[in-house]
Amino acid sequence: MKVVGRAYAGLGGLIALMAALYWFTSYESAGTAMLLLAAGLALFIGLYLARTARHTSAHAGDETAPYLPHASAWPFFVGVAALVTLNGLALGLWALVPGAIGLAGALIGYAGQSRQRA
Amino acid sequence: MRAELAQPEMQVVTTDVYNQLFTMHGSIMMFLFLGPFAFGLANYIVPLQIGAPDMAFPRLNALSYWLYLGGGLTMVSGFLTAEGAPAFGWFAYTPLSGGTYSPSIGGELWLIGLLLTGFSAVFTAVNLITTIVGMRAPGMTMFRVPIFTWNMLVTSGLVLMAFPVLTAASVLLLSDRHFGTHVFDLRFGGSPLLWQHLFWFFGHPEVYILALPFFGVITEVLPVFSRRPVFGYKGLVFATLSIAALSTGVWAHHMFVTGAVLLPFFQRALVPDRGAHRGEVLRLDRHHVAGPAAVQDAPAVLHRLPHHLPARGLTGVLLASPPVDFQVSDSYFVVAHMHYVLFGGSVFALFAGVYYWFPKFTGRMLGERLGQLHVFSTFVGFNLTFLVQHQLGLSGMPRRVADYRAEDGFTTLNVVSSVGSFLLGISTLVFLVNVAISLRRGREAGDDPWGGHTLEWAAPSPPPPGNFTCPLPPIRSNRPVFDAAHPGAGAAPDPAGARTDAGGEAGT
Repeated sequence: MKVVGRAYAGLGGLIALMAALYWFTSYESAGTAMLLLAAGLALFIGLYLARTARHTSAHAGDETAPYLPHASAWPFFVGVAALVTLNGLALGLWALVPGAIGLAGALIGYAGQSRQRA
Repeated sequence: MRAELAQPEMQVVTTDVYNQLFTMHGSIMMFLFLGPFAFGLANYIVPLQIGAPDMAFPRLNALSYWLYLGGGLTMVSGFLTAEGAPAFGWFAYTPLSGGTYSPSIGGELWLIGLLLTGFSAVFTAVNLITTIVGMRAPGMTMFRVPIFTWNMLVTSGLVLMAFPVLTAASVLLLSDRHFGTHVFDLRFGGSPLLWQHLFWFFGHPEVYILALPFFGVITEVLPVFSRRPVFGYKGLVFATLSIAALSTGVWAHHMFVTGAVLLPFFQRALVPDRGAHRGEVLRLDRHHVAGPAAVQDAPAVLHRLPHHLPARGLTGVLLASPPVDFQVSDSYFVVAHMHYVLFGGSVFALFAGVYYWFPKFTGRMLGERLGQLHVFSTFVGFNLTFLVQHQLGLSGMPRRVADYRAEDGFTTLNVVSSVGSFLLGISTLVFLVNVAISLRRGREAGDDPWGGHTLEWAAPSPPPPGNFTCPLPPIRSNRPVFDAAHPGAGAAPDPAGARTDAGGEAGT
């Protein structure tokens, strides 16, 4: 975890350096903003992994078998509802509204089942 | 498309249908085929390679699949509408892709498909990173992780950096088309060029998202068949990380001809980018040159691959130079380059991966004779189709045209290219027939038909739920199965360093 965290942090640092170089050579805002976003995302992953590694080493010995859930239909329902909702943008409110309601319900069902570790 | 281009004048489709075809060809290959294939392969292989029972979030995996399927169906459903599929090319440059010039509903459906597949890609990337970071078997330190898994880790990081930008850009374009905003509309203070920045900030890393997984595949296959450890393990890992970092900083080399980007920055940034790429290729070539060619009877595909890798790299170097790029931009030279990169590199490696892991997926071997026929016809068909397109481009044939004149002098090379593409189509049918026959009547493979190095070969074929039925072999190098099968051969050099204790902290 430490190695991966450092790798992502290194990526983020390198991209941040490129962002600085790009800005001071081009003064172009769109590219600079995207480079900074990419650097931020890479640093975010790196820092998150570093924090998790610290947390994990603090709880060494507490290992339990990984939780692997049973099959569930909720991902299918979320997928279908997302499909109907977004297609509703092209098709009209008759698809958008039921899709959005279905998406909210499916997400609640998905999260509820996961919280119960069912 | 190749049938239409075989001769001057229009014979097979109308110009508008041709435009729809090349738009959807690019979209399907880039968004629905190569990347999803790599991540599908990783879903299966990565948990096996790290000794895990499954992916970290199986339900998120399922959601990724359903979003991908829905997005893909939405994207291609434009063909079912009255106006047809979008015809603005897979780059979807504004203002052509805006509501004024492409008012058909196919454009909306394309963007919605892009959104759904974008979310799918991000969820899969999160799942893979979590799996690799958190579910490795004891002893599987990061510098003992197989290169394919390393490459998927880096690719997943690239997905997390690149796809949000594309998703945001798609929302903005959808908003312009649907809600009347003017983000890309010059008349109201918007910027059409902003789309190109946003798209290529995704698009250049996307090339590596489509290439790095298949570099990983080749790096798994070559050492096994050359009977030696991975050459330059750490070098490969650092080259891959360097490619990932540098690929985010060279997006605008696709925009040289706009005249609105800083040429020196992107030209210079491309030099180390291409250098890291070359480093990986040279390390792979080393296996090819040094190996004793111990191929028994299947993934001979890989023996054709190294000839394509230099070609893809060389044309890439040429296009990194603005004076050359100005000359060949939007010509068939670029089409040839792109297909050498994505077909000559990635699709050939994809086939090598299928031949290599098919016994693990199914418990049966793919047929040898049909396999050789497939490899030979693909190799010939591919080069016939795309090699001549370099010359067509240099002779001035523009890309994305449905027609040309007889007096242009493009006819002969177009005939060669079309014949090659038909051969390529037939070769794919041979492959599919081989898969169908082998699934029913293929030779029993056993657990480890190749003398593999990595942990997937310690699992039954096909693996049951939970993947492993026996205790894993001790993991003391990056090829634990080989070490267990050949205890007298001496351990492979351990890239993790001298520590060989199970679960050691070094490199975790």
